[in-house]
Amino acid sequence: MTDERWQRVKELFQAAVERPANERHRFIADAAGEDDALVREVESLLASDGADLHALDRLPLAVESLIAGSHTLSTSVEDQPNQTLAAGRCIGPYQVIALVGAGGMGEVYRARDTKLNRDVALKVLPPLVASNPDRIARFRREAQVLAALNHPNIAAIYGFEESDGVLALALELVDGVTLADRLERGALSLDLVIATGRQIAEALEAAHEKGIIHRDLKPANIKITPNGGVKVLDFGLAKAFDSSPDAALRGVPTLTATLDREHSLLGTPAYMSPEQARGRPLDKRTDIWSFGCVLFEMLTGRAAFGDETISDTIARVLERDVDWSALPSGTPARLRDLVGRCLRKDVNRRLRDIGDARLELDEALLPAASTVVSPTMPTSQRWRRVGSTIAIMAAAIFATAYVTRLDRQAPAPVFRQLTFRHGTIGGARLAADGRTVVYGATWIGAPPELFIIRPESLQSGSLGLLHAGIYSVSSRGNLAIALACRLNWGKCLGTLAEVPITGGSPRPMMKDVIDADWSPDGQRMAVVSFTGDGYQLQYPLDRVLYEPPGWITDARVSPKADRVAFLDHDELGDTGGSVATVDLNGNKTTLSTGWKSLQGLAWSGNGDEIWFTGSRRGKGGSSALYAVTLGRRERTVFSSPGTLKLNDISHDGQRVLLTRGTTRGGIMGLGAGAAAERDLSWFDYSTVADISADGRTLLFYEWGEGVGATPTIFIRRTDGGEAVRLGEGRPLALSPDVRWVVALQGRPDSQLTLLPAGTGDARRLPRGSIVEYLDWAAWSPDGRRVFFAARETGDVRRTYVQDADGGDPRPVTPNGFVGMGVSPDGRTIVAVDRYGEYYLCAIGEATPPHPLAGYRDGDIPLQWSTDGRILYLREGGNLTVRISRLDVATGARQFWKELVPPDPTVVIDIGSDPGQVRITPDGKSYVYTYWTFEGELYLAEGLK
Amino acid sequence: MTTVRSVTALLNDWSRGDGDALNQLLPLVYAELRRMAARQIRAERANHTLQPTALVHEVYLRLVDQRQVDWHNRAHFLGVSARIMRRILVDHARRHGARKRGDGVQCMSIEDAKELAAAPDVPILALDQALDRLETVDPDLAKIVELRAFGGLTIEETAHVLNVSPSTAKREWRTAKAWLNRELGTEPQG
Repeated sequence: MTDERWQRVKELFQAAVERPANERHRFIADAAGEDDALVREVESLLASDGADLHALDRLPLAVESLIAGSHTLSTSVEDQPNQTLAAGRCIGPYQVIALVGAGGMGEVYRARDTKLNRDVALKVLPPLVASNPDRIARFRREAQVLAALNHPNIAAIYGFEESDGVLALALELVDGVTLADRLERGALSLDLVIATGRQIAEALEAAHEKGIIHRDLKPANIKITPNGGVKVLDFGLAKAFDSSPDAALRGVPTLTATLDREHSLLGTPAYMSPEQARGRPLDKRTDIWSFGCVLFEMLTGRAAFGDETISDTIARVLERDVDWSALPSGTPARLRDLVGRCLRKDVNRRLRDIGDARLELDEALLPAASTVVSPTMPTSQRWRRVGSTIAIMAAAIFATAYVTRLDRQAPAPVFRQLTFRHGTIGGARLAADGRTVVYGATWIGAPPELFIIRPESLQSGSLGLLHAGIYSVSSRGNLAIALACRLNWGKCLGTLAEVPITGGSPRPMMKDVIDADWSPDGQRMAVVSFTGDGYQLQYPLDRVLYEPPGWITDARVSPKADRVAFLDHDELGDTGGSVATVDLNGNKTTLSTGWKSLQGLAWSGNGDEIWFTGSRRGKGGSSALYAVTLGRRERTVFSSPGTLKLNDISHDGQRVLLTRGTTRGGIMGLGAGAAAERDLSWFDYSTVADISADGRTLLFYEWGEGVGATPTIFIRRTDGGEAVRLGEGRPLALSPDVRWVVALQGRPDSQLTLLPAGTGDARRLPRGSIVEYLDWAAWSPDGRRVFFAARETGDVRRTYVQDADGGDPRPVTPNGFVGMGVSPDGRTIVAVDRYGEYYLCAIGEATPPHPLAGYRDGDIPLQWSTDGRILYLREGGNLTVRISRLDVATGARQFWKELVPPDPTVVIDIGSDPGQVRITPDGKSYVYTYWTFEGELYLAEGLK
Repeated sequence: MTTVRSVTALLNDWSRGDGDALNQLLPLVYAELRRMAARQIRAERANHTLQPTALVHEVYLRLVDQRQVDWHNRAHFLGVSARIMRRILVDHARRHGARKRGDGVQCMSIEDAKELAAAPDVPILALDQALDRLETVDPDLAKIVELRAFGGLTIEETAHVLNVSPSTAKREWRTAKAWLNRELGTEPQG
């Protein structure tokens, strides 16, 4: 069709659709005259008009699920699936070889992965599970979460398969015996207890870090491989297989997980935590209890709480202490203490973090040298044993001497502050002389810039390079720098360029580089770059050594130039992960895992250790300087309050460049009757959730260092005073009478819960068919009902209402409309659709959502006024809070107020989540969250 | 901050017709989109802001210095994002398209199964091809579909990107939908 012709078609079509439907045909006929082809063309378009294009409308959702990497697919289950699979049958890519076991979780087959040519364990779901779409959906969700677990001590979950009504989970097939089998032969030696315990702890640590709780840790779920490695099986499956419709009972262990026929019916609750036995909500500390049980059993050869019958065992778990006299007399005090701290019945007094258990086990290694040599051993073996004992003792003596020497001699390190302006240090390196410092900094209000501090001046001087960052300084005095630096989680992502330290014009070498390091001779370079699909580590430049699943930073070539150390971050956008090296053949070795945040790495002066800064506890809180050897021996070099980041170590190991910084989330607010704003921050990551209508009570949560990175709910009076901790979770809204808080508790599968602000019991709201709760909720004005946003099976997000006393949730908005505020008469909800546009939805009426008039792009509705006529809107922009009043009826808007945090120069964000700015309906009080960051560069001497 | 200025500069270049600027923007924005998506899934954050539109807006806020740009740059950015979304989806569909037809593979992986299950809902390749055809007929209409359907832009945003009035954008969008509806109705779906 010619251009002109199409223009005519389009013109007619567009004119026609403006007319009433019954006039269109005549209009076209009249306008097209004799041109029948034109009439047909326009008519065919008209026939396709109106019917919404299914594909077009679904696209944003497809994009979303693609980006999120989580697919939702419809499930169809055939009736009565045949559960016993014949050999040769295909389930997805897996071909069944043989049945290897059966239990309450279904049957387990050995199967062949025909694509990857390896054998797997295929766990086939029992028909009870496989016939219930909700259960399948939940199972699938769990399986997806679990599949993200990737750790050498965890048996991997490869995926969830569905084929002709058979639902199966593909798992790593682990050879070896279970710890339960091994324990039938009696207690383990101390070394073995520590080695095994340590690996179990590492597995738990990796899972806890991802918010996954095992819930069913026991010797039968722990396998010892032929080479002494440990693999923890069935992570989180207790929950995935859970058949209890009542969410409160979730996570009761699978009493049926062993393959033993008899046990498969009853199993044992001997490893269940007291809170689990009581059916209480669980967190990671339930695993710590079970871990304590396993440790005890490895040490003694008998179960910590075993008894004849299930009810007797449960009674023991709940009431009796373990028999401490059963522990062998040679058990080191530290280990004894560790078991004790794991087995505290009061969950709040129990060991909090499995990472601490791992460290304790490490420390307990030294006394292991006192192991008595068994006199019944054959001589040769005895001598070998004695030899190794001597070696261990020698190591212990050496280590003791080393510690003593440290105690006696280590002088306090000396720190010299090098930078003083407000802002962020991007990176810093020492030149070959070990004294000249080159650093990149972003001062508030200025672009990233490179500075140099020469030993003779101690003053920062600009290198004249703007939008630049430093990667490395070579032994020959060349700088590897980032041009066009884009700050990316504190690192410069930019174009790698080379420039002499004495000045000159930079020579660009490679695009999209995030880190680079010269080899010790200054001839070669290790580079981490972004390829468009992912990250890669090259060393030298023509050789890709490693392509991570996530991303990597801080690549540093060893002093011997035989390997590259780096920080391996598992997930894009997350700074957690592990410390690893890769040799010149691309063999990667992980040295230390389980870090929640990691930034900064360098080789020690002699190359024996890799030093790095990070935290196992959380993202925002204190991080310390650690060292790990290639033999994985880890120690803490130095810790201080605030966040530490290692930038560089001089070649002689004498000087260390560190950045110290602090990120804070603070709350400012104007309480009822107050004349001025007051700082209502509590710990380090104070984040607003709600303010009571009278402006007297603030609901907030903490999720930083102060609470060990576990989101924790508090309320506090806005006139100051103590904050009261209500429990873990994410608070959403205060009830009108300020007696209840609606909150999300539990991860990853959060649950809508009502928490009493004073006395009373927490209540979980039944979830009906809700698959996922979103983070918005509000109370009805009478305080009897809760509105909330959630998702049922499929892609549908919408607003629901539920009686605070219970009952099932009922939808109150059409699909795709997510609530953001309830009017004071409880009859209208302001809701957002998936395109980010706002609507008013009449509650309980069949009228379609009515577009909200008068708002601007980026506006966020904050609150209805008391009379329901005005919506307070926050304007777009994350460094200011400008609030307008929108007349809901007329769409007229009026600027109302701008909130300005104290010391705005260091503010990096002001409550970018809608819930982080709250106003009372009368407009007299408000609270908001703001984020600040400040950092300074230090040169430390005497760190050892 | 820098990030910021270079993306801003790239946007400016792109809006002045520098095609290379777009190629530089794509990986940046794509990476940021993925990062943000990954971050949002993990963090206890508004799940309902994990819509592509909201995601794109947020990425924009992060990448572009608010003080340095005007509305038009924002519009250009949204245009880039729409292009990226389309590219991501089409690449994805294409990569798995061959296997979907089952060329002698006896067993199917979970990824394939997902593809298969997702495929009937969104015939992305067919839509992509239809869009290419629409582009030869009426490039403006094709652009509108890209912005609205792949970028999740509103009518107003679309109008700004294309520098037309919202009522024109609305009319054109309706026309484009009718055209595609007709086109996809007669074409075998891939």
